[in-house]
Amino acid sequence: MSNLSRRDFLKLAGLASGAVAMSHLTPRLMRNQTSDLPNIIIFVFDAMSARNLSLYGYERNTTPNFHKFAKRANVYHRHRSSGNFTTPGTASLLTGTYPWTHRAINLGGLIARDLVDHNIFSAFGSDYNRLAFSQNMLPNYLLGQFARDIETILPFSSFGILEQIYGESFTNDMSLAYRSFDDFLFKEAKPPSSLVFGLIDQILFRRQQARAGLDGDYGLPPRAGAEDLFFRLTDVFDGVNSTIRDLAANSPFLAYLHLWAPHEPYRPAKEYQNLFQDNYSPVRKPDHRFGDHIEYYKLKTHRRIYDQYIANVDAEFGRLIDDLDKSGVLENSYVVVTSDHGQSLERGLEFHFTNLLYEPLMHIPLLISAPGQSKRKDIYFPTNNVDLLPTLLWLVGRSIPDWIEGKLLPGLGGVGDMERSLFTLEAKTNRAFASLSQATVAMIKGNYKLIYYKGFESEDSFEFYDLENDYEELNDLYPAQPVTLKAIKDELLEKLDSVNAKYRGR
Amino acid sequence: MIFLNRVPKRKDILPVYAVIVLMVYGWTILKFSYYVPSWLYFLNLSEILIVFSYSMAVNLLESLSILIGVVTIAAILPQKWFAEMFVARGAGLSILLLGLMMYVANQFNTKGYYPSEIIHWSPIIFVFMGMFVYLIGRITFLRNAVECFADRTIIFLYISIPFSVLAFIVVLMRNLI
Repeated sequence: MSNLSRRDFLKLAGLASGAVAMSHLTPRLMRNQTSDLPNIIIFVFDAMSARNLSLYGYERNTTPNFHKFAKRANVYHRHRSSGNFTTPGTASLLTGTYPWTHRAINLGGLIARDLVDHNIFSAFGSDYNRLAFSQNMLPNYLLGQFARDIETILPFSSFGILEQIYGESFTNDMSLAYRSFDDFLFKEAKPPSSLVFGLIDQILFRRQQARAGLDGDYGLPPRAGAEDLFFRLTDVFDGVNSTIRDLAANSPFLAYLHLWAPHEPYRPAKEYQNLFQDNYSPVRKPDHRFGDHIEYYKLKTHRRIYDQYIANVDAEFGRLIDDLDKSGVLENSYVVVTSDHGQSLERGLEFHFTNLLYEPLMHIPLLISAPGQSKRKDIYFPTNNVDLLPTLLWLVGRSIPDWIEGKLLPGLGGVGDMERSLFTLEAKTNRAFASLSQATVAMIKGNYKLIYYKGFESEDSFEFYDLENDYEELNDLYPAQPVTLKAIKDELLEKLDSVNAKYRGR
Repeated sequence: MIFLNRVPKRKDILPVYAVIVLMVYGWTILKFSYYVPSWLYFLNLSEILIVFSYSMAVNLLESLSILIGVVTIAAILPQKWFAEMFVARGAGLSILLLGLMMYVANQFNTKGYYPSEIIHWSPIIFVFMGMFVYLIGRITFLRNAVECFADRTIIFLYISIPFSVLAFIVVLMRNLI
């Protein structure tokens, strides 16, 4: 070292600074080299049940624009979420694994810490420009876990008209900052845990809310649940539009866009509030013992507003797709339209905070439009949202990691398999890292569906449906013990036993 | 400088701050204890401690802001009204103010609640509070009781201040590194 001359030192310093600069530029340069890769745009409409979409045969014409989009897409008719609320449903979509693997099973739960690298953003790698946006707080906890694999996470309150969100200011520690500030210290609709600032925050926000005419419920601009965020659908879709256009300047990109609507509170815009004043009467179903015993007529009224809200989302989506189409962004983009879970408006139960797993809660839309696709393709094989990640990786020529539990979707690299077993799990009251002792598991195999209620009552119970002949799940075949039941039940119990093995004793 | 000379002495400020700390931190810790059982379902210990760190850091700022308010009142008002018996009157004012905040905060159980009645009556509430604080200084029994209470709460400062400083460091490290 003593022989190092001034000239050598300067050369070395130049090389070192060049190397630092290159390390920063490499992903961008690589991105330019791989710009022939297609873009991926994923739209997740929260709590959108396929059972309320005319695209899937619903009586009310809720989705004329989805129909139009479907003319250039693969339409999956028997697609289900692996969870019945946002956390597990979204985590499965983003990781390609079932809830019993990723363990984000509780309300606001997180992916198992040793599996955080197993996500869609890391799987696509840094030669993709990766962006994520969620208007629902729960996916933001997960996105915070994946933050180092995402170039841009748009703030939760983006495109809002009135907001008071704090966690998003802590970009290096988003997940825990959201939990500390917005879910604890300044939590809405509860006595704030921060006595001074929290109280001032609540008083000021409610004053702003009243001044902006946002006090009340029906007929107001949408609100992201109980969070301090109000927005207009038009603004959100316009914001998403300009975000995608900006991304297109730096292709290839992966955009995960998780929009709140049509999640409750249902707030369709004014021009949709008179829709569906018809005589449509949904099938009457008996109240379930785990339901909330809400009257049929109340559910019927709420269903109409939910349908109006879906029609509103559909119209905005149509406007967005037309605009993106004109701009040429879609020429080299796969567009995915799906949801994280469904919604219940039957059996005395509204919304999705439940341990039930009937079809309206787990049957979700899935449409995938490929670049240049001009024909509709309908696929009736059962699929699950764990299948999306491997399929997208296959479409862009990536190898599929062995940790993914999903399979390639039929029509996009995969082969339809009626005998494949698919699962949906609800276990929000179970400890995340313990054996599943209180959970509902639904298993789909072919046309059959077995539901297992474990640990809720003194005796565990089952329901068994033939979905081909009993679309509304009205005829429980379990008491009759049909021959088809035994093999399916054995398989489900075996599966549960195997996923519990890792946590036995905890 | 004249204003600074009117600021109460450190030995008088400490018991008042201790009362504020007890109420502000106590409130958050109580709420924290409600949340922990559900967090234990899916957060690990270090994550729960980080949430606690954010809370402690916020509590430190909150308690200091209340203290600054009380000290400012003492510096502005004629000394005989407030500063001469700063421990009793400062602690009394803090207890009343934070107690009122606790009452209002507890009303926020429902979506859309707004404390319009309390805000409407706030001038009268504050006048009564002022009168009560004045009386604390005049009634020996009350003054002794409040001073005695404030004095005994100083012990909490030995816990809360080091914890808050540590919490601040944790928050800074997680956000700057």
